[in-house]
Amino acid sequence: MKLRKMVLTAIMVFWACQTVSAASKQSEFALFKRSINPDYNWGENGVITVPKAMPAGKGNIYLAGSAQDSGTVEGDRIFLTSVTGVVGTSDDVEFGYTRRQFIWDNLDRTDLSMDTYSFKARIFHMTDSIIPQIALGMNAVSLNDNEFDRQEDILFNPYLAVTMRVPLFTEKAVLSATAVAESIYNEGETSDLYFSAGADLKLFDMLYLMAEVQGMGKEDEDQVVNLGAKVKMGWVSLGVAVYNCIQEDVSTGDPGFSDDSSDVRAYALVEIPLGKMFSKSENKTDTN
Amino acid sequence: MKIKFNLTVLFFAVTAMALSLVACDKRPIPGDLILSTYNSDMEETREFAPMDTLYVKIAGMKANSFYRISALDADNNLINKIEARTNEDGVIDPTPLWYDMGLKVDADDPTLPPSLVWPSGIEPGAFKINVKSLYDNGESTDFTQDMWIVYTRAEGDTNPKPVVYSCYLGTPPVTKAPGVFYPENAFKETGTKDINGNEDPKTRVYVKADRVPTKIGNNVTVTKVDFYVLKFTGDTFKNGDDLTDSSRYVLHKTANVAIDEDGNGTVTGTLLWDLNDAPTRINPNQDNMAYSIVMDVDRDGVYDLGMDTDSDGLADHFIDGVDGNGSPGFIIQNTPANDVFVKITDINGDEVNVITENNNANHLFINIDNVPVGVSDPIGVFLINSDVYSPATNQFQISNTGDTADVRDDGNGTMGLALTNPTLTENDPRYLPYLASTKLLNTKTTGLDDWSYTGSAINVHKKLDLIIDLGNDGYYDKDEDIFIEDAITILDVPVAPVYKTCTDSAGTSYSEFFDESNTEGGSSIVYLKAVQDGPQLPYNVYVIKDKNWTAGDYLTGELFSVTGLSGSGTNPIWDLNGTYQVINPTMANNTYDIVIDNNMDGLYDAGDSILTIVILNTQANAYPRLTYVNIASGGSFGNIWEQHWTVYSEFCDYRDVFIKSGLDTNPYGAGYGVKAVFNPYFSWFCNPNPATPVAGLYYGLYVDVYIVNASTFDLANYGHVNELNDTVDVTGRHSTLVVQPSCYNGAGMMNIWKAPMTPGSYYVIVDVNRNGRIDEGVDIIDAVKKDGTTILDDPTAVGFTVE
Repeated sequence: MKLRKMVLTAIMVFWACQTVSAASKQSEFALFKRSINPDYNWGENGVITVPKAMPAGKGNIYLAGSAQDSGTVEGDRIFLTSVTGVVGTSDDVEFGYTRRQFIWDNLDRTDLSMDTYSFKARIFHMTDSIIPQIALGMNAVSLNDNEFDRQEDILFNPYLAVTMRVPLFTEKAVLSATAVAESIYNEGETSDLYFSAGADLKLFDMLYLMAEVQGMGKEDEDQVVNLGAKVKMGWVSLGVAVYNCIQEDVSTGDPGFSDDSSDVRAYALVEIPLGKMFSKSENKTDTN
Repeated sequence: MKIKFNLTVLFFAVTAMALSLVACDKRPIPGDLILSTYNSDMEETREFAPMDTLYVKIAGMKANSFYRISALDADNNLINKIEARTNEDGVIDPTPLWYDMGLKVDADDPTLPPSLVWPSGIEPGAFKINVKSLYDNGESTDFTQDMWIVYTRAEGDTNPKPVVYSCYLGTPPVTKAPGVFYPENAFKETGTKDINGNEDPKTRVYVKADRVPTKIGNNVTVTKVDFYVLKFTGDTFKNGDDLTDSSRYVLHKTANVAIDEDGNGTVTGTLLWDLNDAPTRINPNQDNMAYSIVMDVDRDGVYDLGMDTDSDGLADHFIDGVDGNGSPGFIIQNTPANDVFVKITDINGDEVNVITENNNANHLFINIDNVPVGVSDPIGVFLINSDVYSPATNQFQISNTGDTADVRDDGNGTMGLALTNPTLTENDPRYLPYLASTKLLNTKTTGLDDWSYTGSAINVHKKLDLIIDLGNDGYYDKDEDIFIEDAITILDVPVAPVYKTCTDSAGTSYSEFFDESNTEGGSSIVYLKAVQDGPQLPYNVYVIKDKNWTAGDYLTGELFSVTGLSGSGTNPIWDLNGTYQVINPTMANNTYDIVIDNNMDGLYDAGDSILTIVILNTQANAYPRLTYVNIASGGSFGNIWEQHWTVYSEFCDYRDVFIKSGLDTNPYGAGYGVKAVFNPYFSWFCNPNPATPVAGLYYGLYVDVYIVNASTFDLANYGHVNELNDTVDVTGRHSTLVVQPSCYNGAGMMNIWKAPMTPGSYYVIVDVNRNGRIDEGVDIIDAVKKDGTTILDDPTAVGFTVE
C-alpha cells in the first residue's frame, strides 16, 4: 500500500492538477505513439515510450521485444508483438528498426504487421550527469500498406529530447528526467507540438522504475500516464509496463488506477554491449 | 578475441531466435487480413480527411455468424459499433463503422452539436477496433487491434480535392457562443420554428469550404468562387457539366464569395439559401427535398473536376468542389411547420366524421393542430353544404352576418358559421397554436344549442364541407384558408323502419355506429333486427361501401352478403372481428350500406331497405406514430431492372417483394439476401443521443434493426418492454448498424437477412434508441407499400414479402 501511495503521489506531480476529459487529443496521441514507437532500452535510451537524449552508444546493440495480449480469434489467442533492433553507430548516433506483428499463440504470424525505422542523434553532451543532454530523433512509418517507396507515403515523427541524469549521491542510484517535444510530418505538413515527460530511477544497475506522462502543457486535455518496471540481469532484461493506467474518478474527480483504459505489455531485452566491452578492453590495454 | 567471437555468435543466435518469432509460416486466413480499414474512396490507407468515413472489413471468422465490430477510443470508450453476420467465407465485407471522423464535441458542453475543427496541419488519430463473436458472447473471438491514422489537409504540390460542406449557424440556445457553424445535412422547411418560437437556424443553409485551390490553370490566383445549389438527381457530376443549365437543375447561385481569408484556402460560413425567403420550400417531398452544392472555383459555370497530372487515370489536381456527389449534399426535411391537421372526433375521441340526423345530442368535435395564425388571432369555422362549392371559381362569399348564417340551413347554399373565434392554445413555441376538441355539431331537435343542426329533415345523407377562415374575413380565400370537402356527413336515418341495426343480440340497442375490428370490449358485431308485422318473409342482406343509390342498381360489388334470413328477429350480420375487418377507418372508408333485398332479385328497387352504418376509428388499431419509410433493399443500387418507384428508391433499390433464394439481390456484404438501407431523405424528427456524449471525439450513433413476421407481430400492440428481441426477429438475431451523425438518418448498406429467406410478410423495425421497444416519434418502421401507402393508411401494408 505504501508503494502504491508513493507512486500515486509521484503521479500527482506529473498530473499537475489538470482537468480531465476522456479521449482527448493527448490520449489519442499517446496511443498513436505507442503504436509507432520502437521498443527502447528502458531506462537507458528511452523511458518507456518517451525517448531519452542518450543513445545506445557506439558499437552497442540491443534487441528488445514486447508483447501485448490482444484477445482471441476463433479460439486461438493472438498477441501484438514488436521487436526492435538498435545499433549505436557512434557515441551519439543510433539507428533502429522495429517490426510490429500480430502472432498467434503457436507463433504463426498473421498478416497484420508494420515497420518503424528510427534514428536518434545526440547534439549536446557535456557531461554524463547533471547538465542536460539534448538529442534529435526521428521515427518513420508508412501511411500506405507498410510501403516506404515514396516519400509521400512516409510519416515522420521528429522529436527533441532533453534528459538530465542525476546520481543520487552514488552511481548505484541514478534518477533521470526527460522532456520531449515532438511533432509529425508528411508532405510539407506538420502537426501541433506534443510534449511528454518521463522519469526513471535506476537502482544498483539492476532495477529500473519508470513513469512517464504524455500530453503535458494542454490545460483542457488530460494526460496519459504510463508506468513500468524492469529488472536487468547481465545482458538480459525483463519488464512490464502499464499504459494509460490513471483515470480521473468520475464522482470524486481524483485520479486513480484504472483497468478500463489501460493496456499491459510484457517486455524483454537482450543487449550486447560490444562498444562497452571494446571500450573496457581498450582501457584495460591502455592501463596495462 | 575469444570474448568477441562469443559475443558475435550470441548476437546472431539471439537475433535468429527473435526473428524466428516473426518468421514462421503465416496462418492461412480466408480473405487475407483479419481486419482492414478503408476510407470513403475504399482505399486502404491511414490517411483520412476530416468528415471521412471509416469502413472496416473482417476476415478469418466463422461462416454465417454474428460479430460485433466496435471502434473504441484510446480510453476504451465506445465510439461506434455494428453487429453483422459473416458470409460463407467468414468475411464481413467493408462496412461503414465510423461516419464523419474528426467531428469534435465541445469540451465544455458535450451536449452541443459536434463541430468540425480542421487540423492546423496534420494530426494523428488513434483508436482501437474490437471484434467480438456474438454467438458465444466472445468466447471464441474477442480481438482488439490498436489503429492509428492521420487527418491531413493534404496541401501538397497538387490541388487536393476541395472539401465543401453545408452547415448551419448556431445561435443560442443551440450553442452558447453565437456564430459557430455546425456541419449539417438535414435542414428544415420554410417556417420551421425553434424551441423559443424563433426561426429555426436550420432553415438557413450555409456552406463552408476548405482546401479551396488558390492557384489553378496557368498559375492563376483564385480569390473568389461561386456556389451553386443544384437539385440532386442521384447522379454524379461529370467533368464539363453545365452548372447554368436551368432546364436541368439550376436552383440558386451565390457568386463572388471571397476565399482565403485566413490564408489557408478556406471559405468561411456563407449563407447560400435562406429558406424563409424565396425560393421557399413548403412541405418538401421526395422530388424537391435533396440538393447538392457545387463550388465553382474558376467561376466559369462549368463543373471542372481537375487534371490527371500523373497519368494514372485519376484526377489529382482538383478544381471545383462538390457537397453531394452521388448522394445529396443536404436535404430539407418536411417538418410540422406548414402542416395543418384537422380531425373530427366523437365525445370519446374516436375519429368519426358522421353524425345521425334527428335528435342526436352527441356532438362532433373539431381538433386542429398547427393552426397557422397567432394564438390570439380570431378565426372562423364554417360548415357549408357540399353542393355549393364551385371548383371552377374556388372562391365564394361566406356570410356571417346574422342568425341565418349558420349551419341550420335548408340546403339552398347558404353558408353557416359554426364557430366564432374559438380559443386557440399554444404550448410549444416550435409549433403553431392548436384547437383542441371543440364542439362543432349536433343534431338535436329539442333543447337546441349553438351547435344544433336544425335544417329540414333529410332523406339522403347530407354532406358538409368545412372551411377554416384563417383570415376571419368571412370569405373563403383559396391561398389562405383551409377547405375540407365532405368533412362531415349527417346520416339519413329512416323513420320507423322494418329493419334496424343494433349492437346487441337482443335487438334492444339501436345504433348506426360500430367499433372497428379488434376493439377490446367494443361493439364490433353488427346485428340486424327485423320486425315484420305481416307474413314472415325471407330476405337477403348485402353489405356495400356507402354510395348514392338509384332504383334498379345491381347489388354487386358487395363486401359480402348474407342469405337465408327470414322473418322477424335479430341476426348477426357482420362480425368486424371476423373475416371482413375494418382497421383504422378514415373518412374515405368508414361508412357502409346494409341493403336488405326484400324481393331477393339482386337489385336495389322499390321495397328494398338501406341502412347506413359507420365504423368508428377507435384506439384499438392505433399503429405507432413514427416514421414509416422504406428500409428493405435488394442492394443493387441503380439497377433499373429491379423494383423502383421514385428517383430515390431507384437509387436505393427498395423492394416490396423478394424471392426466397435472394439471387436477384446484391451479394456484397454477407451474401444474397435482404439489405437494410436507410433512406437519407425522409423526415425524421428524432435525434438519438450518442452513446458516450463526452468531449473530444464525436461518438457515433448506431441503431438496432429487427425483422418481424407481420402475421404474428401485432404492430398495433406496441410499447412493451422487450417486445423487440432476438426471438421475434425472424433471422434469430437483430443487426446493428451505424448512422450518420450529421443527418441522423443516412447509413450504409447492411445485409439483415441472409438468403434463403422464409416466405411470408415482414416488417423491418429500426430501434433507434436501442431499448427493445417501439417508441413513437423515435423509431422507424418499414411498413410502406410501393405507392408510398403506409400501414397508417392501409393495415395490409408491410415492409416486404418473400415469395
